[in-house]
Amino acid sequence: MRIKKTALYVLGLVLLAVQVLAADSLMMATTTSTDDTGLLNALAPVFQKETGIELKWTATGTGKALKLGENCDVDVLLVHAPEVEKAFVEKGFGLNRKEVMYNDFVIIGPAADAAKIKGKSVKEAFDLIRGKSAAFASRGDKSGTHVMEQDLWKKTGKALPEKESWYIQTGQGMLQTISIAAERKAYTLTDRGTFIKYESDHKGHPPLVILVEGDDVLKNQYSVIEVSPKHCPKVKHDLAKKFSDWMVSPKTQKFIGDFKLLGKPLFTPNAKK
Amino acid sequence: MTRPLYEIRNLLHRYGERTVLEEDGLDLYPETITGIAGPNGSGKSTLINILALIVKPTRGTLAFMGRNVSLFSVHARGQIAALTQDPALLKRNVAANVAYGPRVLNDRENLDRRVTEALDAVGLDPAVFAGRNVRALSGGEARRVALAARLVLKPKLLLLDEPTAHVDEHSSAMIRQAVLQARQRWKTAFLISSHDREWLDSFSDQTLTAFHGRLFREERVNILPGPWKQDGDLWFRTGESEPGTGMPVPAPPDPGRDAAVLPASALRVVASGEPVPEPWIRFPVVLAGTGLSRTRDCLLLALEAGDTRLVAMVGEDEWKNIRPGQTCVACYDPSRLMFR
Amino acid sequence: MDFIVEGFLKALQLILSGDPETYSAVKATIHVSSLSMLVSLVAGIPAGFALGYFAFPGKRGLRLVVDTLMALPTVFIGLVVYAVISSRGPLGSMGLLFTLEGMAIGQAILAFPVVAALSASAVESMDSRLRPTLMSLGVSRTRLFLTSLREVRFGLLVASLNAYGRVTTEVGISMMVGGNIKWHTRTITTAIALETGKGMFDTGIALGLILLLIAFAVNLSLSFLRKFE
Repeated sequence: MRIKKTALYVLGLVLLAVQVLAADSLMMATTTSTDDTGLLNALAPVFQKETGIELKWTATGTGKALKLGENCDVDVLLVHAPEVEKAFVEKGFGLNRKEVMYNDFVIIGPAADAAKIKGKSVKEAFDLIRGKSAAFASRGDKSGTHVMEQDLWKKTGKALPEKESWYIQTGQGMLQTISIAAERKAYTLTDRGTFIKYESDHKGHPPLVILVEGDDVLKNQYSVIEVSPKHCPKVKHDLAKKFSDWMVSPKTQKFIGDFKLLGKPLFTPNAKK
Repeated sequence: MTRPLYEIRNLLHRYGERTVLEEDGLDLYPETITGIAGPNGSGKSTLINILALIVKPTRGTLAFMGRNVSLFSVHARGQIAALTQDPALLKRNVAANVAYGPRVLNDRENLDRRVTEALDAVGLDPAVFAGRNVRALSGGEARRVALAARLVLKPKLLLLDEPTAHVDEHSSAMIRQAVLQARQRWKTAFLISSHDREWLDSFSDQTLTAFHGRLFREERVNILPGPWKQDGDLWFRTGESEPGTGMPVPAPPDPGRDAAVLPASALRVVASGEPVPEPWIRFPVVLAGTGLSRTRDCLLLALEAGDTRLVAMVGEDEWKNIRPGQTCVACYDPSRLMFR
Repeated sequence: MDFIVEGFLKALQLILSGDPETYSAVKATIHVSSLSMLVSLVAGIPAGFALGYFAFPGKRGLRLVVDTLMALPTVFIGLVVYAVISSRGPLGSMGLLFTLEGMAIGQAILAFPVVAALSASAVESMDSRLRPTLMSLGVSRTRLFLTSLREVRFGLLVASLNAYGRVTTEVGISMMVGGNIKWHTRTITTAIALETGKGMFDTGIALGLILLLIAFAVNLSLSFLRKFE
């Protein structure tokens, strides 16, 4: 009986120690396109080494990520939809929105380019696609990319192609949508990061290639937002702040800029100095 | 005077509107073998299920060894056991089936030996059968395994419902032998139902007759089912090939459905010209066979009246009235006739 | 099509190289499914047994409800569980969101009707002579229940394996409630969803094959129970 009691006591101590020794952990909501680039997989170990905090993240669409923040289920957000982000902060759900990096969007399509959009501006390209009723794949899931895409359609001055037969709404993540576009020989709008990953997955010879890039309206801004401790008292705000500060620190900013796939940089760090 | 093992009072059981069993009082004594003979639907199985505490009677009290018992009564556990008409065997081998009862009662002392003993008692060689899968048994063998599973409990009372129905001759004989052995070695009392009256009589202390949910104590009972039609003052069975033959009865309350019940001891045989008391009913019969009563002091006469077969239990003085091959006269007191 | 063949090769490679992400997903899958199966069996088998065994008013209606619950979509369950254990939900303070335990709760909700309905069916197909036979041996009520349970064990095993199949292959609950967090709540099924979403079909196939292997191992180890004694 004594042995049993001692064993239980030791077990209790071990469990306690495990709790104490277990790294502090920070819960983040981000988007699937961000996760798919692999940047977080590279950043997380460095963050843990330098701060002792374990970064855990769940990747969903932008809408759901913000909802998780609003529901106090996560401590920090890393998303790329400036309009809705600002509304999020304005409503009091988030604090300290800090821009950390950007990449750009590109319009990709089959090399054959039936609608001849190569080299054109976004407005011209979209008009050509609409004119030719060329197949176009959309995220259709209220994600940051989807919101950006809808903005660009609005900027052409015409109605959203919601119900057009050539407009394919996949309701899925970026890589999935690209796969579907490749299957259907369609055009689609994607962030460059996801495209580079896609390109590398196809060993440098992807079925879809970049046709339109560089247009100013295609810039895709990423920001970190701390979930407001006023709105969510139980949230780990101190850890969230540490992460936010770390993301804009010069060392991390350099790391982000150096992150490459296929020898190509994915992101341009642009935290305010 | 030994105390009864089982005292049953005011028993009544109904299925919906239908009364299937009715018995005012029945006592079973230790170490006795009681038989119940009767056709299907006479209530034998219902009685056994109720006494075995498997079915709760609509009304009635059951006192076993002085204490009232009911379903799941701890007092009866291991003391009352029953072999129902269609017993299930568990999905295990023979020995495990026989050992199941004692095991769940935590009565494991010498269990292996007792299992062997029980199998021996029902005539199944343990060396051959103990390990056998129950699916590989014949009907008779399965029935005997089920019996062994009850014998092993050494219950004070064992109820058997039609133990030899659909069973081969050999198994039938083995079962009878097992019952007698159990009574002798382990003082087990038995209540056994069967439609085979002769088989029961060959080893029971007393045989009751079951008919339409009622039990009759008399050794022999004549049961004549209806329907009845009137002919003059008396009524005859409509099934008779020649109208006006068969045993006449007074007016039945329900001529369409009633059966007439007359104890064999109530039926008399008289000489041709002999007068009979006024209300008695007389009718011609022909002798068809003879036998002896259990007590071997009365003659059992098989009589034929028309298409009806009757049994009369007669004393020494009536033997002289019997004329083999000739028509005799039978008569009875109608007050001893019951309608059911 | 060739990603299926590549999938086979990838599966071997992942297993033999001891790929840590794969093994983490395997561990998570086993952890969650074991937990959810334990809860749903402990609750579901007695409930199903009672449902099949006893006669009571409203039995048919209840049976209908349980049978219908078997068709609950996993995303729906995931959504409801999320709403309850989210930080702002009634059980938010328990910190179950994004944990394996939270996922197990959702899976238990998925599995319970399956276990109960199929157990009830198993009991209903039980030999009707069993009850009078056992009572004729003078068993207690508890013993009657336990032995009857043992006699229908094959049917209960089928019910359990059916439920196990449902929980190990579901994605909706694991995704919604677990969040597919690497090293923590990424199970084989959510990993498959992730990889296929990335276009990595061969990895998706590979993980699927590994899941199949686990299911096979479970079935194999339980197959001895099918043997008639």
